[in-house]
Amino acid sequence: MEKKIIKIIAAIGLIIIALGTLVSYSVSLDKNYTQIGTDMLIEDGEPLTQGMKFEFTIDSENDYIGHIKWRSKSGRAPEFLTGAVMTDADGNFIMACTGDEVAIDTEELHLKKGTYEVALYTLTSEEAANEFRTNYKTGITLGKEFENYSDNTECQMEYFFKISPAVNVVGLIKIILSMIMSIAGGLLLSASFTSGKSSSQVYDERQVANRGIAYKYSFYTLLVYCICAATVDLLGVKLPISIGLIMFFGVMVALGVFVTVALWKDCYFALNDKRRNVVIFLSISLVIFIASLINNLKYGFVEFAAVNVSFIVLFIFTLAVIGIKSVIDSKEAE
Amino acid sequence: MKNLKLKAARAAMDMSQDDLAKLCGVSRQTINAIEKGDYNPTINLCKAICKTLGKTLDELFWDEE
Repeated sequence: MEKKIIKIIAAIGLIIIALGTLVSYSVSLDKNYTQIGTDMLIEDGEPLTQGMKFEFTIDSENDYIGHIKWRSKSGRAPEFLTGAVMTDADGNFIMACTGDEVAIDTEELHLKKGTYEVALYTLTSEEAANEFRTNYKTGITLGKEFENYSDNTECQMEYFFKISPAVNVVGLIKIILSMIMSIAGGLLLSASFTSGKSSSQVYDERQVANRGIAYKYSFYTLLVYCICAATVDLLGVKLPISIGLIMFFGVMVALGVFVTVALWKDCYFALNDKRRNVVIFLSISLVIFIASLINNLKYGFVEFAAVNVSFIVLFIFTLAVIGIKSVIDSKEAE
Repeated sequence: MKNLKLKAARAAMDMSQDDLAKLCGVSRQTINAIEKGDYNPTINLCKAICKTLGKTLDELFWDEE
């Protein structure tokens, strides 16, 4: 009873961790970078704050949409445009956009983590707007009447410069699917714990003992592999694959040892497993991985292809061991 | 050491290894391993086999000198 409660708490904990991760991920996607100021002054037709600059820091690389708009503080809406020019820390041009009190144009951009600078321009005439458009190739919608500011004394505006993450439909679907899967997985886990049947019960006592032996061989294989990998690294031998892949292959080798020992000691298939179904599943997975490998090779993603190759090798190896064991079993006379 | 008593008792009841395994809740390979002497079952499994075959522990698992 006590064990059941602990397992239920563990299952709930897993769900909370999964949901927490997803929520934090989705919150980070929603993060906006907004700059609000009140320094856009025009006096006697001349913008006083031309080229005013501010900095902001992007926390995570993502696709974003940038735009600027302004609002008159005096209640009166004079006709002009604002322009914003964004550059990175090295002064490289990133994007430019314009906006007025009603219409804004948005610019899609991909930003890396880092500090960026934005310069603001007040475009009080068609000439100034045209010059800005020519310089920065923005989609300014002209044709509106610019006021003659020579008669104005002063007007003050608030401006809003905003960088918001681009709406990523695929990413959104992935988040929703991940949430559904994590909730369903957690519920299934809880259901399996509360049903009174643990996973070890689907293997008989000899199989459980032999699986322990298989895990032991697998563990020692991984240990030896890690020692060999570390030795190679210490000797300064440069291998043409990344350290991540080296460790991944180690896991695959250990998994291969576990599968082989488990198959040989007849503890790979649980009592309620149908051998044919497992073989069909492995075969279908094999076809998918081969298809994926061909596709990856076509687009040159060698690293993912290498991962697929290891899966293909493992599955072919597993199927071969199953085949050999089946032949041996069939020859066993009762 | 092969457990011929178990094999004989099973054959006497016209049961296959698979039939006995299903009735005892273990795999066929486990019954095969017990008969071949490759695996020493726990007392719980011994009792389950004895009950299924209508024999006592002595009759199936006791080695006479």
